Amino acid sequence: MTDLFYGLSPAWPVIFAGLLCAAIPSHIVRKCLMIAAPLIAGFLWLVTPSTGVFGGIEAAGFVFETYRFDPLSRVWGVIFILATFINAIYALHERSRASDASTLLYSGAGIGAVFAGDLLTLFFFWELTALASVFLIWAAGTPAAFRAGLRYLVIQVLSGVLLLAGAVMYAGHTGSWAFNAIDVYAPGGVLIFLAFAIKAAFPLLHNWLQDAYPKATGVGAVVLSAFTTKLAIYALARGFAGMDMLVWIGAIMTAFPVFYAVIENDLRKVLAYSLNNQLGFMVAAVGVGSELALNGAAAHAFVHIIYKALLFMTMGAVLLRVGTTKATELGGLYKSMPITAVFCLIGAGAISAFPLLSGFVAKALTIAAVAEAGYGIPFLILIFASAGVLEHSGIKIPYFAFFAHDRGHRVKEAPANMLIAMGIAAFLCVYLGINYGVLYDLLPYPVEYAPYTFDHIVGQMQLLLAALFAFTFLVRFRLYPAEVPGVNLDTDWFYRKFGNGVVRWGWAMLDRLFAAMGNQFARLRHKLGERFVAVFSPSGALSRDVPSGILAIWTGVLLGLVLLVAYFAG
Amino acid sequence: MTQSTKSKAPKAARSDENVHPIARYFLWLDTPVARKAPFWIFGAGALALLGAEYLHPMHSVSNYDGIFGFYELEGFFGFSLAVLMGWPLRKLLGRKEDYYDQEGDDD
Repeated sequence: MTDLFYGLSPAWPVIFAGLLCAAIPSHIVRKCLMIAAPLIAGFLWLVTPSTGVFGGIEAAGFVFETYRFDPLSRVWGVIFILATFINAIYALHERSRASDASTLLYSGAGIGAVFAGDLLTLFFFWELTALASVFLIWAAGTPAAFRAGLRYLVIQVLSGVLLLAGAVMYAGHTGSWAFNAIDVYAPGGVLIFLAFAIKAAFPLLHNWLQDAYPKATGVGAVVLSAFTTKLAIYALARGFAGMDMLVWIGAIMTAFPVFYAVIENDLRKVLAYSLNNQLGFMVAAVGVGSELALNGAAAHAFVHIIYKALLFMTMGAVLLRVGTTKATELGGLYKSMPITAVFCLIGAGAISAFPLLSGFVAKALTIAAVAEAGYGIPFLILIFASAGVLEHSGIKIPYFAFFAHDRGHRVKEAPANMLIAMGIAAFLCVYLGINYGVLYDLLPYPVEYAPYTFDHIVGQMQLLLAALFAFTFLVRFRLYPAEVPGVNLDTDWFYRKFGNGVVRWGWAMLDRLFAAMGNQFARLRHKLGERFVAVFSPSGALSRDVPSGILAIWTGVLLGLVLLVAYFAG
Repeated sequence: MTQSTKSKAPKAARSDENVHPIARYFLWLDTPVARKAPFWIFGAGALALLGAEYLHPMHSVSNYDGIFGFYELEGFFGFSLAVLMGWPLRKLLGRKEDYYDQEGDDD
């Protein structure tokens, strides 16, 4: 029985289900497909007997390696499949054919990309993630979401184009399309690196994430949070592990979103900045490149997908019930949505790395690896960023949504399917925090790290309690900036305002230029017309002394001459 | 237990029939005592952990974390820095909500 499925990439049933969803009008059938597809994918993942390259598809003289199953792709593959399953449960209430199809196609593309064995297959799935996911943003149905989706699409497709260009140049240089460690200094290497950097939301290339994710639907933001960026982390771990520069880029990535998250009013945007911060830890770990560090990156990606999805799910539930996720319009929701509030607190605790929760056992690997490799300043930045995580995701999200000032919203608790999905994610946050061996067994390399030592527990609790004390201290003495409605300038200003302004100004200038040229031509035409009238009209200069009959004769003579010249020349 | 917590809850919330049945057990969270308590609890907890470090020195993994109270210092001052920077950053970067809005967005 299992031989039948041997070597079939888990991506295919999910993509196939996505295509079916696009064609099937029945809500119930679509939802059944959404649940069944990740289960089949999980089955395929389970029955793959050993590491190796399977699922080769020959086309145009090229073999596309669609299923490379090795320790690195295995862990990313299984968490992507798990995320697809949880997201499907979370989306059960949503009646949108486009959204259902997009969710499955996007998830399948993500799974396909991590199992891609060569650069062309990677490119195919890489672009499919971009094209399929944009519908999750457009599904929100607002003009702002439409424009954000367009910007998102342009940037994501650009990433794909860079990947393709880089892959062609790189393969031309090395003679191989295999997707393994990439030399950034080889022809095309830097283009591939840039392609990964865009999708991983590196500093200055990051703002597509904060622009698009908060404008997606409640379900869409949950789905989007799982795949694109973590796929990029996988690609970096596969292609650029041990690249020293990544440690510093990762450290900056962990720190700068902290400041933005503090002043951001939209809680889903806060989560988007928080996503950037978490990616920074993974990028830094990839930069260190040791076995411990790559285990850290993989473990962090694994648990992060779960607790970030959980946090986005809670905000999605708030959006569904209250209609907004603006901190200034929320507060006191624990009275209406206590179960969602508890799940949010678990997600907040996990991302803040409280002991007994998943973040604690995963983040420890990365920080230990950075310290072990002797990166002193990045180590300090990562510790600072850990306190920052507590601020924006650990405190701000649950506090402003569910506690703080009661805004009087008395709404229903989240729908049952949302609660079940949140419950599964919350359970995993606790389960993996306690039974961390299950997580460690999935990692690419053997793990000898023990997270529950006196030093680690006390050190982490010192950091968290001191930060929590700082929060209460700042609130007590009114030093914590109050939430105010508004937006904050980020790098998207350059293309949304400056670039937009330059283009509009350019069009306006061109308009004026064409108008001025038109005026000049009109004036010239007018003058010429006047001249012609003055010369050739019956009362013109030529008719004044010579009768117009003579002019007609001369015209005939000239035409006759032209005919003769044409005849003899021919 | 339920009676005592209910008696401490704000009157408006107690009389609010739309409060979720589970949440009724936690309405004491809105009392002034509950709102002030975290300051003292977290402060005491942080001090206790400092005491634990004093009694049982930790092993350092980098050049910096050998400093006594390193994690508490980073936690308190790092958090405070992030929050306090919010004041100038908001003035510098903050704009009105409709800053990026375009024609037709209200449709």
